[in-house]
Amino acid sequence: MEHYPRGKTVVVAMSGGVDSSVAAALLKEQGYNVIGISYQVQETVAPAARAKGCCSLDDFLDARVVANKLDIPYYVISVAPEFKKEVIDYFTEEYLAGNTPNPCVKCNEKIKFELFLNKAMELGGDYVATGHYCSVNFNEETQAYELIKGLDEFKDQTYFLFTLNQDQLSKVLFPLGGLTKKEVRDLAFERGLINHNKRDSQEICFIENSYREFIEGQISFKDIPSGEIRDLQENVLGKHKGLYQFTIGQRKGIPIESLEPIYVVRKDSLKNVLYVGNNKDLMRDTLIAKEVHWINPKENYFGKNLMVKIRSRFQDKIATLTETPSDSNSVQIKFTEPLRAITPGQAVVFYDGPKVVGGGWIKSC
Amino acid sequence: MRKSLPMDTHNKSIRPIFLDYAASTPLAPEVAALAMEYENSLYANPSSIHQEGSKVRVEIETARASVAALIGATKDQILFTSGATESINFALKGLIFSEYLKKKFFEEISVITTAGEHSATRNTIEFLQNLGVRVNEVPLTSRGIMDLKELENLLRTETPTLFSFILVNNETGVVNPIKEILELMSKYPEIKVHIDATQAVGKISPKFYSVTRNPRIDILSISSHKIYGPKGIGALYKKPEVALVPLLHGGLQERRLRSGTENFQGILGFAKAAELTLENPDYKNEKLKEISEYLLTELRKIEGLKFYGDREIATSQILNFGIHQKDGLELLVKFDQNKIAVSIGSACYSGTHKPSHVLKAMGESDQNAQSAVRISYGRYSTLEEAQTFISTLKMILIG
Repeated sequence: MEHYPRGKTVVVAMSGGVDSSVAAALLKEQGYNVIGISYQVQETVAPAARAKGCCSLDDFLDARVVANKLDIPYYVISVAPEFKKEVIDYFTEEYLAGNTPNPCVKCNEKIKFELFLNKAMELGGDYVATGHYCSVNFNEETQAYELIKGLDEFKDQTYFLFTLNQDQLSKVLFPLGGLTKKEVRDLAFERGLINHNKRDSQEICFIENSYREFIEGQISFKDIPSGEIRDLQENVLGKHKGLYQFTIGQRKGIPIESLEPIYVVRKDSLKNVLYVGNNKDLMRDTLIAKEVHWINPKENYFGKNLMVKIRSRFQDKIATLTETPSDSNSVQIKFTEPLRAITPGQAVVFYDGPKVVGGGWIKSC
Repeated sequence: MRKSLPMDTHNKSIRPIFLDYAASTPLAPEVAALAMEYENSLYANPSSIHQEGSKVRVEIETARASVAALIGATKDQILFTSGATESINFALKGLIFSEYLKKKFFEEISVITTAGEHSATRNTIEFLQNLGVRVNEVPLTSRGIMDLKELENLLRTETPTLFSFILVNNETGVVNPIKEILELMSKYPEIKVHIDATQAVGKISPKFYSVTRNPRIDILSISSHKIYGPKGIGALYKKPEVALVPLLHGGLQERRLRSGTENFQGILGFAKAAELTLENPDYKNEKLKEISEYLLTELRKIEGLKFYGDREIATSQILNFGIHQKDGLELLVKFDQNKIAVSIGSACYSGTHKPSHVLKAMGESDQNAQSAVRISYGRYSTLEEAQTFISTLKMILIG
């Protein structure tokens, strides 16, 4: 009797949260051969589910219970060494370089849709699926895959997925793209999934306390030199104890007396200087993005009006992209109106309507 | 480009093939039947003074004799625990804490163990080490047994309170040379010898672990769910003169050494399983010999396949092998997709795949250790299952 399953096999990345659980359920109902896999990102997994973060042993147990309910196999694999190198070390180094990193984008780029995707293929998967709120489309005219924003604008997660290339897009399924969060929870409830009401994990998954404490834990205190706080005219106003403690646009925690509200405007990691200014000083209308990736490299979007997002929680704004002659991997972005607190190190993503055109990393503004 | 075709889901009517007996065994039907018999009559607390309690007490003590017989002990030498993990914890901590009460300093206590122990031993020893106890570890040879020469060397430099070792390795099935070890230990009568016999009972001849035949054994740990008995119950053998500080204080059950109302169902189940094992031990089972020969012959034909642990000195019921450049987890998942249950590493912890410390201790590279797969079978396995296993393995290796 032939045991080996025929048909399309999908490996669903399960976090123990309701989104990936519903994704698995829907794919099973659509007739795929589904395998659920959680990946642990650190050597020692936190035993109990924490308010922040995700993927503790409790979360894995939720995933296991759901997998059992859906009658799909479930495994846990470790990606800890690679995660440390590609995400955690990146995170720390970026802060020390004066930038504000986005580890979730990095994780998607290097771990979830590369390392994990490859492992899933090795284990017999034809596709990988996640509970991201977005869709993949194959455009017959252009003969290329497209990444489309999720129906639920508020939950759309395409900002974190801009690095996906054509090959990866051909291997990924996003079952939740056409659903709202509420609909997903309802689907979970209907199917009796235990996590239908579970809180969404909002924060960075590998940080248990604050990002400051985390950075301090990664390096020793004496490695963080204190430096000067200056205004934009280079007047020295005071001292700071480490640039990593501040992010652009921040108002709280600046150790300077001032009658008017002052904000962090710029971080110069070479000089180790923190520049502060007023709200006007935070408004910029141009930025340079580096390491730019185009979802469809054959299409040209220079000079067109696109919607651009500079932060996951910020609204998209209208901008045009122009080439930078000095570097073919960089792009200059000019907004029709100035934006507040453009932050080096963050991801910037360009949209043509609901379609993701591409994105890059904010270098300077 | 991508169409969603109606696909078959997992065929539920396929009977699963279970090749992970070393992790746990199916309940013997005779053991399962027991629960029904006494449900209505034997429910009282065995420590109660009234007749209802007395009835239960008598059953427990009768059961104790059956379990004792498994290892050639008398019933007064057997304590019931929640399993081999508790027995091991009890043996190690009980002995060390007893020494501590005399010596007052953990730093003055030392123990010897091996590099191939189960995590119950390893982690308990690590805990004791963190308290200050000095620990020496006998390395393993590439065959998978402890290095006797190194043990001899260690014993020459100092005399520890305790020497604890595993008899049959749970990952490789390799049997430590107990006769030679105990002969060596007879030169050092002050050292307490504890043996983890969890995987030994039933799989190898009792001549290796019977305490009457091996009087040098001071303490011994065994488990019920490895011999077709219920989970959650095990036993500790100890010589009367061995002083152990209890892990559990309370009602003073089990000769004041292990408080808590006795796990009656577990004890009866364990005793029944013990009787069945005495009558029909796996190591004498002709059918299992056939399966063993078949598996070894077929596996030896597979290109790039290497056994971990010297098969000549291992129980035939636990086989550990790896295939060149094939990840063990990948094989496990593919077997699992075919409803064949096998194992990589030990069953414990969160279910993630770390290279086995036992294989590393045998000198294997990380890559080899990652490729290792363990299969183990027993009383209810069939030759047909073994054949399906081999044909599935071949198919997986082609595909």
